[in-house]
Order: sequence, then C-alpha cells, then structure tokens
Amino acid sequence: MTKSIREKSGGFETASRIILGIVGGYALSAMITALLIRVMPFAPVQAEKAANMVFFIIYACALIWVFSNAKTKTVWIVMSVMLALTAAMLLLGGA
Amino acid sequence: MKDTFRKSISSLHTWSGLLAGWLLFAIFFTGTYSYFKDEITYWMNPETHKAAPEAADRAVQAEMAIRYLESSLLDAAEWGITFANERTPVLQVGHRERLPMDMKVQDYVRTAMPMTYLDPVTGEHFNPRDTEGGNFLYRFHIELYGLDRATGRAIVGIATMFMFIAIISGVIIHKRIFADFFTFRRKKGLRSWLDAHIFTSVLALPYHLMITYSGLVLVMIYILPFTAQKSAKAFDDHIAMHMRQEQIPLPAEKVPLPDIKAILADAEQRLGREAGSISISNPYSKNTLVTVSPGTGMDIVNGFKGTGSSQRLTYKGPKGRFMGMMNMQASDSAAKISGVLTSLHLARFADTFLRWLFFVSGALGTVMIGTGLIIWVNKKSSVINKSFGRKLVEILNVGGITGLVAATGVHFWVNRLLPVEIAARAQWEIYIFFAAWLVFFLHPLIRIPKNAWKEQLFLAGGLYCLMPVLNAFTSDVNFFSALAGGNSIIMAFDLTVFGLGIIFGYAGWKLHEKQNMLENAFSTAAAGRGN
Repeated sequence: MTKSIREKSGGFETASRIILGIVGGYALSAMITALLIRVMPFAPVQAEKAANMVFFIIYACALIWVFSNAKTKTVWIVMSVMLALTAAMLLLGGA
Repeated sequence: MKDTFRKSISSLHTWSGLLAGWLLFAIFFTGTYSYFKDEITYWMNPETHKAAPEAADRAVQAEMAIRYLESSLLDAAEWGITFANERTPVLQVGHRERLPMDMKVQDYVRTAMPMTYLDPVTGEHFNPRDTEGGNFLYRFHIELYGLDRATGRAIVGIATMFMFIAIISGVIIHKRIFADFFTFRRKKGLRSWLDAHIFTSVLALPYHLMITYSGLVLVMIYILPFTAQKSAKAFDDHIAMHMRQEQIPLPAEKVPLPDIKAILADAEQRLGREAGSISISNPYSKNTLVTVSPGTGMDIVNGFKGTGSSQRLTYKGPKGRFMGMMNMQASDSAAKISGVLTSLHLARFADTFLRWLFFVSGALGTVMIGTGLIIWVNKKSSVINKSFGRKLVEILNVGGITGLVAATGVHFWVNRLLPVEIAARAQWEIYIFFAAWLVFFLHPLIRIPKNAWKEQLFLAGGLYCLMPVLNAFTSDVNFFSALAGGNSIIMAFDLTVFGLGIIFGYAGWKLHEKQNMLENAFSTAAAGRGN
C-alpha cells in the first residue's frame, strides 16, 4: 500500500487503469447520463443538455477514482458491477 | 495510504497534462488571442485605418451600405450590415450567395458572413486585402484546421477533457494551495518553474475551471454522441434552416426594397437603444425579411448566437411591415445555465475591462500549460536522463510553445508584407503561418533545444516589438497619429504587441544569461526532490 500505481508491477496495472478510466469511465458516465435524461423534469432537448453538463463531472470523478484506488482488483470489480447495474437499469427502464 | 493516493493522482495529472499538452497550449493561446479577434481583424485590414474615428449617423451609414450592396452585390440570398462600433470602427457590409436548390445539408458549411469594409463617413469602399484576419486562429481554436466540423471539434473536446482532469487532479495533489501561492523561489531552477506553474494555476484557477468546463459544454454534442442525439438533431435542424434560407430562387419580378431608414428609426425606438446590425434576407422579393439586432445590452443568460443579444426585430415585404420583436428567453434552468456558460466562454457581453481581465487570465492559462510541459522534461532529466521519450518531449516543447508564439508573429507580418494582388492571398497567409510553425518544430533538431528556445524567443520578441514599426510603414495610421487621432485600437494594439515582445525578449535573454546556472540547478533540485 505504499507504492503508487506506476511503481508497482507496471504494465498490466497501468493498462488496467487506463482502460478502466478512459473506456470504463466513459461508458459508466454515459449510461448514468442516459438515466438522468429520463428522470430530469425538463423538455427532452433541455434534459439532454442538463444531463450532459453533469456527464463531465461524473466522468472526472470516475477517472480520479479509478486512478486513486490502491488495488487494481477492487477497481475492476467495482467498475464491472457498476457498469452491469447501470446497463440493467437502462435496459429494464427502457421498455 | 494518503501518500499513495497523492502519488497516483500526481501521475494522472502529469500524463493527462503531457499527452494533450501541446494541443492544449495551442488551444489556450489561440483562445486568448480570440478575445481580441475583431480588433486583430481590423489591424489586419490596414486599408480601413484611414477612416475618421467619428462614424456618421446610423441612418446615413445604412443608406451608404444599401447603396453599395445594390450597386455591387445585387444577386444575394442575404445582405448584412454591421454599423461601425467600438471594436470595429468601420462600416461592414456582407452577403451570402444563393445556394443551388438541390444542395444537401451535409455539403453545407455555415460560416460567419464574409464582410467587406466601407468608410463610415463617406461610404467609400476600402478595397481591403484578401485576408481571414483574426478569424483564422479563432477557427483554429474551435476546430483546428483542415478538418470537418465534427472531427475538429471532437479532437478539441477530448483535449479539453484532458485539461479538466489535469486541473482537478492538480488541485488535489496540491496540498498547500494558498500557502504556495505566495511562494516564489527565484533562480532555483526546477523549483522556479514549479512555482511559476503553481502561481499561474492558482491565480486564475476559477477562470481555468470556468473556461475549461464551459468549453466542454460548448462541444458536448461532438464528444457525447450517445446522450446528445436530440441536441445534435436540434443543431442539424438549425443548420438546415439556415441552408434553406439561402436556397431561394431569384424573385420573378423585382419589387423595391423597403425603406431601411424608416425601419431603423422604428426599431431603435422600439428597442430603446442603438441598433448594431441589420440583415436583409431575400432582397427585392415580396417576402424580403429585414431583421434588426441591437448592438448593446448583451444578455448573459439568453442571446442569439452571433449577436449576443436576446432581442431581434423583424420587418417584412416591400412596405417593411413590422412583424414583431423576438425576445429569446431560456425555457428552464438547464437552458439558463448552459446560456450563462456559453456567454462566459465567448465573452461577447464583456466590456473592455472584463475582456482584458479574461485575456490576462487566458495568458496565465497558456503559461500554466507551457511551464507544465517544461517541468516534465526537467523533472525527468535526472531519472530517465537520455531516454527517447524525454528527448522527444524536449524537442516538441520548443515548436509547441515558442514555435506557435513566433509563428503567430510571422502571421501578423505576412499579413502586411504579402503582395495584395496575389491570387488566393488569404490562403497563402495561412500556408505561410503553418510553414513557419513547421520550421520552428524542426529548428531544435538542427540546433540543440537549448539554443532553439533562445533563438525563437528572440525572434518572437523582435517580430512583436517591431510590429508597431511595420504598421507605421504599411498603414496610414501609426502609433503617434493613432494617439493624436483617437484611434484607440491601433494604439492599444501597438502597446500590447510591444509589451509582449519585451516579455519574449526578456525570457530569451534570461535563458541565455542563466543557461549554465540553470542547468546545474535543474539537476540538483530534481535530485533533491526525489520524485
């Protein structure tokens, strides 16, 4: 717990963080945004605008979180669960 | 644990800043430049400088504009008139061509109406040179160059996201944000660069956050294709509407134009303030539409894109029948917030003082990115001393930082020195700008980077400092006659470029003087920091 990401085993760790952060974070934030659009009390175009404004905050938080967590395994698990959860909510709520 | 967290975030800060660094430097630099794009465009059209500073009455200006449009731009889908104002003290007239009826939306490019300039007192056409003026680097700021709108804006948007992450992670790793603000250790090599980086970051932090976040909001339809479909469609519809407005056949029988002077007087009375511009769509038709927009009273919440004002008056047909006043109002709080963010980013509402404040903040942001890139090279120098990556960054830093500054100086000079009669002159100005920039990227390969830095800073310093002299020889107005004649734009321009030139020259001289000393300090400071 005393070493930063880059100083640890290197390759796999760093690649994991980059993929989880950039791709995973984007997918997660986009899905949360899609959920937000549905619940926002605005006209469709405005709801989209409002939710997309929030997107950048969510994405930034997701990225920071992915890079700050000490254990890569934890990040993989939590990110996968979150992605599965939001995807399920989107699919179930989409009907 | 806490230490690990900071280190991880620190590497996030380093890499997000480095990977998009040169692009971000260019975006910040050209964006800062764009606060004065109107003034720069005016400077780049020296033919117009001889106009008297006091413009004629707006009714007279309208009459002169119509006379010019009727005599030389007869066949147009739309005419535009912009009255002489503080930022462009000459009368502007322009037109849009009629587009073929079978044109497709995807082939249509919506740009600002190309304008030409008339004397605001006599109505004489200035015959200005063919130039994009300040608009070239303004467009570069938004969508780079030579790419289609969506690709260019997506690239800029992604770089902006990197900036956003770099700012947030920078704040997190910086534990003593306010204490360090008052710390500046001169002549301490790396420590000085770090202090300069922190100083410029913290001093304008609210600005950096605002400009980055609002920039993201402006390009969000290009980087969020999954959740912005309706907004993107609304935007496409808006573009298609503009295209249809230009796809009008020539009227079968010509009817006379409405009385523009009467319309102007009526509009100003209804608005209770000065009109700024008039647009005449489909002239000589029964459906001619005259739109008047106010020139002052910019609205920060609402506002039509382009004019920055929330009001518009329309008049229809040869009799100029009043059709009503559109008063754009944000429909809900989401629209209001995005309206405010857009206004803050574009700064159309800003008066001279606020514009300068934004300009200085933008310049601080530019320095922040530049010093960040320099720190990377110097910090690593003791660790991975002669690695390929470090060398590459060191070389790219020169072209990416001082190269752009010097190339912009070249652009100003080319604007004045390129012969007026050359074909596709506006294009050549741009090509020469890019050619110069490329040379500045190659320069550190031939010379070592250390010397390339110095030489480019001296060159930039010379180009900027001598711009008032260049202007004196290539325009009717020089610094002293501007001072005497009250031409505040030329006066402020000369002072600004001279001041910038002094700064660049000073930086080059400092580099020259302290080169050896800095070298030593870099290595000891980096070793002392231990990361």
